[in-house]
Parts: sequence; structure tokens; C-alpha cells
Amino acid sequence: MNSNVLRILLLSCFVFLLTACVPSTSVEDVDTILIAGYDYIDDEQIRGTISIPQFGRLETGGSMKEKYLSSTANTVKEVHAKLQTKSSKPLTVGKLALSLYNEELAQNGLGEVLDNLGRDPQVGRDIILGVVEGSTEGFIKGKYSETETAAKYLTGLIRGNMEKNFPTTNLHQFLYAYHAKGMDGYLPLLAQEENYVRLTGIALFQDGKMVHSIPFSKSFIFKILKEKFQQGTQEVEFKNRHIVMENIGSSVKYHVKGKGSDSKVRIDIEITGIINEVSSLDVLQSPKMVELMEKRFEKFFQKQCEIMVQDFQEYNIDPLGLGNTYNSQVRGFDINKWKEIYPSLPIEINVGVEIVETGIVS
Amino acid sequence: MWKKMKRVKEFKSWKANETKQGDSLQGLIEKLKQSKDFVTYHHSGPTNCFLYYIKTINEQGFLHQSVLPILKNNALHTLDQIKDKIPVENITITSDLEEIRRKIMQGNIMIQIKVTDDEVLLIPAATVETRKVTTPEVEFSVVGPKEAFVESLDTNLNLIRKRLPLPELTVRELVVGKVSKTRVAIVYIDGIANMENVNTVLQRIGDIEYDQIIDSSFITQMISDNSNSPFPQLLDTERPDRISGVLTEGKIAILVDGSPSGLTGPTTIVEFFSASDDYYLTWHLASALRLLRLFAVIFSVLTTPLYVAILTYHHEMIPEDLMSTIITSRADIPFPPILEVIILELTIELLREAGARLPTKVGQTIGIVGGIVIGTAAVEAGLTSNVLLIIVALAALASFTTPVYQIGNTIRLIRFPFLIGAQWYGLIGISMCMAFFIGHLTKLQSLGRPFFAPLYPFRIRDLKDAFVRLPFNKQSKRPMQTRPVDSTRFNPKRANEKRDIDE
Repeated sequence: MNSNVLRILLLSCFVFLLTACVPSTSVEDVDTILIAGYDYIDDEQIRGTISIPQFGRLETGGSMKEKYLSSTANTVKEVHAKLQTKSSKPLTVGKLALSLYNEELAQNGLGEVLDNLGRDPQVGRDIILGVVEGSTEGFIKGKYSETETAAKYLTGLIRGNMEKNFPTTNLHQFLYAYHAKGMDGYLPLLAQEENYVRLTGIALFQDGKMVHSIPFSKSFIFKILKEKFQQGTQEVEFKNRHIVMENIGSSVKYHVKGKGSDSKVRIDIEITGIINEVSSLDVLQSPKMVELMEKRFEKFFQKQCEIMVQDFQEYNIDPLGLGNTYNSQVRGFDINKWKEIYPSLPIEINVGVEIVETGIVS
Repeated sequence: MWKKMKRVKEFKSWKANETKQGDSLQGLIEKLKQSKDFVTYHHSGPTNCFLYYIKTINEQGFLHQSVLPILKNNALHTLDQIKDKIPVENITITSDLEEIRRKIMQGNIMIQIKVTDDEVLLIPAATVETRKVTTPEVEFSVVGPKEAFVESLDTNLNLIRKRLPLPELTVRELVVGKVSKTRVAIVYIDGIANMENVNTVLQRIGDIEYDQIIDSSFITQMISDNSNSPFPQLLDTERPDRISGVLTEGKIAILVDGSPSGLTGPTTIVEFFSASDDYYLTWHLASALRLLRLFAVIFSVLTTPLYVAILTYHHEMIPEDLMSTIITSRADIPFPPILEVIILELTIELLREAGARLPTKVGQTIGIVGGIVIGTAAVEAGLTSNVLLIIVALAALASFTTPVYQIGNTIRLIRFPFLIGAQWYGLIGISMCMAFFIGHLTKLQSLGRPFFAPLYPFRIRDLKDAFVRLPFNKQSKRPMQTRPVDSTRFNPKRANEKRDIDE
């Protein structure tokens, strides 16, 4: 026999012999966790709740059924192990869409839970994390929709708002902020009300611990400070009336200057918008008026942004990642020194607003 | 050992017997007389001579009209006199036994003056039964020429020659096969085709050691660079227009007597996905269709392995909306995905094989019975899932889109290694298989030229007629693949001249 054939035979032999260790289960033989929630019990223990969809045998499935399991243990891994003892099929986290934490747990630090998520290659990087007011167990078990699973309902809710006023958030971004120098993460804050869920605001973290939150009404301001976006709406009082501007494109840029204690930060924001709604028609849409509106909006945004940034500085949190920008642009960044100077760092904010359209009424 | 000796002995005695009987004309005639269709005829009259011929391959009408009247009306005493009188070309007078034997087997009439003479006259009068030229059945095209090769080499050469009426079109002929003595023609255009390629083909065909060549596919397998590869390294076609098309690109065609398909080379993998239709449609359409075909092939090879890999290992890849569909349809299936897929793939392969073996009319029925009845029943019986049935059916359909039949079979086969890879390691297994096949393809050669060109080695010039077909005025150069002696098809400057005031 020639050596080539022998080699191939040997190789295929190895392929046969060395493959027994890859575990495999068909997709219908596993329980896929869609939502996982963790509640704070005491300093030692946490309680985990998961929701698993139950698919009917008939193709015309009818209403969505879900199964809920809860367990209490000392560590996240242990919770998972305990949950497995309650399930007939192996649990997989591959389709995990939401990972929720109650406020108390968040305030005590998400480090351990995050580590668990971050290490698992099965977990997608674009899953959504969230902080729930109250207990996550009741939150997950709440029946919100007849036709879709709670996971779909909740991810739809958060993703839908991310297209509008709410800042982008997912596991990847939160982990980045968690591990990056000079950056703090934020998560959506959710609350259950009767049979629906409301996005109540943004939970702000410092080193994996929730320290502060801002209400949903301020999320537009947060978003223009944080990222480029379009499609959000913001209402402003103008000459005793309310006008609503729709953002059709905004950009933000951080400029850092100086070193050590004389560091300076400038934030430039450019907003292009259209006027969507004016509470009474007699506000004439003359070019002059538009200019006045622009001025009003600029002033409003400037003020709001300054208040928000000052708020961040007071709590010594940096969800905008100014420290991270500083690190990437100035040589010799020292995180400890930065933390010292951050609360008193002069931050200048410039907002430019351009209104390009006032609708087809005129 | 003893067996081998016996075999050698047998062979020797057979050889001795052959020389004993064949070493004289008398012996040859005696041997031929054992066949019923060998005619020996003593012609007495003005010309006294003996006629020998095999009536089944002789044209009887020719004998009656052109040979016998002359022998009857004239008194001819030597072979030379007969030769002068008979109105046919290529009459030979010879005593060379080897030539006599060959010519009489090819249908010549042998004339002998006296039984004891060694010298004979040979008149070519062969008749060959062939099919009429018909429409192509394997490579059908809606537009374009509708002639297909038949089993006669001369007819096939005629179909090529009439398309390329130029003296440079060279036809070299070799006789291959110890027993079958098959005529093999190597066709190329002198001055375009690279002589290196021609010599490769001539040498490889000349070196073939085999007793019979029944079809051109024998030649493909025997002269291919890597005979262990599942990929055919010479393109076979039954379309004379396709052959004449590639001849002008500098390729070489091989035609085998008795085979209705010609071979062309050196070829590339992309050529297997180009149909002759591509040249009959406008270039945008042709390019779109080519890309569609390429997609179909990739789809056909990869979908079922992907199904297995995703359902077994990578559940997270299933979109959430599809999850319930897949799970509900899989819920009642007692098999793991791999078995489910293999069962269904085998069913489809069985249907294909049965369809190919059965007579046309029954075959269609089998197709319907198999496709509809077995498919539906399998799903209802809970043996396979609905989703998979659709995937497998689409994959089978996609594999039929290849214009060249041979590569279709390859695609049919290489799906299975991918399936096994998918079951072993999931997507990594598929990638490993893919890496193996791509590695194999990059190493493969067709008549010493890279088979994976124009991708590897990367040749921009050849890409103009590979995955897309650019318009004719952009194709002023012949493909680099064949290393043509004359690489210019036409003058691009003149072709692209603006003729604004054409009237």
C-alpha cells in the first residue's frame, strides 16, 4: 500500500476515534433559555429565574406557552446547576435574548453575573441587559402578550426605543464600558405596570455597580451627548407654546485638551431637525421664526446637557466615556489621576441646531 | 505463482496461434471464413479473380454498381488493370499482411487473381451505420444551434469543420485500444493552440494502454492529471458549437469514434458552470444566470450540511421567528438531524438513479410518484420534517442547474463528506471539508494547466469570461489559461470605434 493512502486511512481513523468528545443535541431536545433574571436575596444568595418557550406539536401553534423556573443559590453557576435539576431537557443559553437584574442586585454589583455572560461563547454579544425595578421573577412571569413570548415583547420594546430616543445598549457595549479605562456603563431601567412594561429611564453604573439613574424624559439629551443618531423627538417650550422637533441627524464629538490638572474637554453637538408639531398654528413659519426656534433649541439643549454632565461629574461617573477618549488621544493617561480631576474637569458644550423643514402646512 | 505461470503460458500459446494463422494470407482467409458474414466469391468470366469481403460492413450497392460490372465487362488479368478501371480513389495493391488485415476489417473489398497470390487489391467500400444528427439532449439550450454530436467520428468532424472553415483546423488521429482499435481525433487550430498542450494530449493518448475505448469518458479518466479526483478535468460536451467556440480560444478537442460527446481541455472549474446559452444572451442576463448557477451549486452542496450543523450544534444561529417552525416540525421526528437528512438525501438519490435508468415514459411517472407521494408520506409518517423536505428538494433542484452533466454528479457526491463533517464538528467540520476541497481544487490541473484558474492563480483577463461574461467587445483577448500562440481575438480599437454616421 502506498504511503499516501496509509496516511489518509490513519487520519480518518483519528477523525473517527477522537470525535466522541463533542456533545451534540438536536435543537428540539433542549430547553432554550430566552430570558434570565437575577434577584438579590441577601449578601450571599441570588435567585435566578428563567423563561423557556414551549413549542406546540401542531404547526398552527396557537398561543405562546412559556415555562418558568426559579432557583436560589450562592453563585450564578450554582443557580444554573440548580435550574438544570428542575428541567427535563438540557438547558442552553444560545438563544438568550435578555438578561435582567433587579435594582438591588445592580446596586450591589453585577461583576459576577457579567463575568459569567462574557465568558460564554454561546451567548450572543448583542443580547440586551436591563435593570428591573422590583423583582425580576414577577417581571419575567408577567403575561404581556397573547401572540408573542415575553422575550420577544421585551426585546421589541427596548430595540424599538433604541431606534428612537433611547441610547444603544447591549452586552457588548456594557462589557466594553465595564472593562475600559475611563468609561462607565449604563443599562435600560424597566418597570412592570399591570400587564405591560415601561421603559422608565437609564441606570448608570460605576465599576459594575448601579449608582444613579436618569428618567426616560432625559434620554434624548443623553443620546445626543452619547452618540450619532436620528429619529428621536424632543419637545421644547417656545413663546409659551410647545414645539416638537424631530432629530433627522445629530453628531457629537469630544475634544480633549491639556494634560494633568489643566485638562479640558469640549463637546460639540450638531443637530439637524425638522419641526414636527407646534401646539398652535399661529406661530408663523417664517425664516426668521425658524432662526429664533433654532436659537431656542440650542439654548435648551446647551442648558440640559450642561446640567446632565454636571450631574455625572457629581456622581463621579463617566457614561460618555470622556476618560476613554482622553486615553486614546493624550499620551500618559493615568486612570487614578483622571478620577481625581474628573469631578472638577471643565467641560464645555457647544450645541448647533439647524431646522431644515417645518412641515407641509406652510 | 502457479496461476500466474499458467496465465503466461496461455497468453504465449494464444500469441503463437495468432502468428501461425496470421502469417499467411491463406491463414487469414481461413480464419475469417469461420464468420458467417465473410463472403468469398470466385468471379469467373472475362476476368477471373477472387473477391473477399465482410458483407455486414460493406456497402453492397457499391459492389454491385462499381466493381462487378467492370469485372464482368472487361477482361482484366492483373491487379493493376483492375485498379485502373475501378472508379474509386485510394485503391491499394499490397502484400503487406498487417495492412490487409486492417483494411479488410475496416470494410475494404479484397481482390485476388489467384488463390495462391500474396498480392491483393483493396477497394475501400465501408459503410457505417450511424444515427442522424439530432438535437442535444443533455445540454439543451433554448436559443442557439440545435445540433448534437452522434456516434460517428466523421460526422462529428464534419459538424466542427463546417463551423470553422480554415486550413489551420488540424485533425490528428490516433488509434487507441488493443482490441477495439478506436479512432481518436485530436482537433486544434494551428497557430492559436499552444503546441505544448497539443503534445501533452498526443503523448497522453498515445500512452494509453487499454484493450477497449468505448466512449470518450474512458479517455477523460485515463488522461486526466489526477485520476483520483471527483472533479472531471476535461469538459465533455455534445454540442459542436461549444467545441468550435473553445477551439478558437486555443483549447484542444478530443473526439472519439463511437462516442457522441467531445472532450475539451485545458479547462477550468468555472467553465463547468458556463452554458452555451450564456453566449446567446446579452451579457447582463448571461452574467446574472451564471451567478445564479454558481449560487445554486453552493446552495446545493451546503444547505443540508448547514441544516445538520445548526440543528445539532449551533442552535443560537436559528432566527427566533424560525425557531418555533423548526421545532414544531422536528418535534415528532425520532431521528437526529443527520439521520433524517441522510434518509431524505438517499431517497432523492434513489429517485434520480431510478429516473435515469428507467425508460423515459416510466421515468416521469416515477418522478411524480417519488416526489409527491414519498415526500408527503415521509412527512406525514413523521420520518422527516417539512422544513428539511423543502431544503432537500431545493438542493436537488439546484444541482440540476449545472450545464455540464459530469459536474452535476460530482456535486451530488461531495455533499456527503460535508454532511459527515457537519455531524462531527458542526460548522467547523463544514469549514474543514471546504478547506480540503478548495485545497484539492487549487492543486488540480487540467492538461498541466491550473484547474482553479482564474481564481488561483488569479487572472483578471480570464475573469472577463468566468463568473460574469462581459460583452463581446471587451473580450479582445483569448483566455490566458490556454496560453494561446496568438492571444488577440480582434482589434479592440476597431471594434470600439464609434460609428456615428452609419447609414
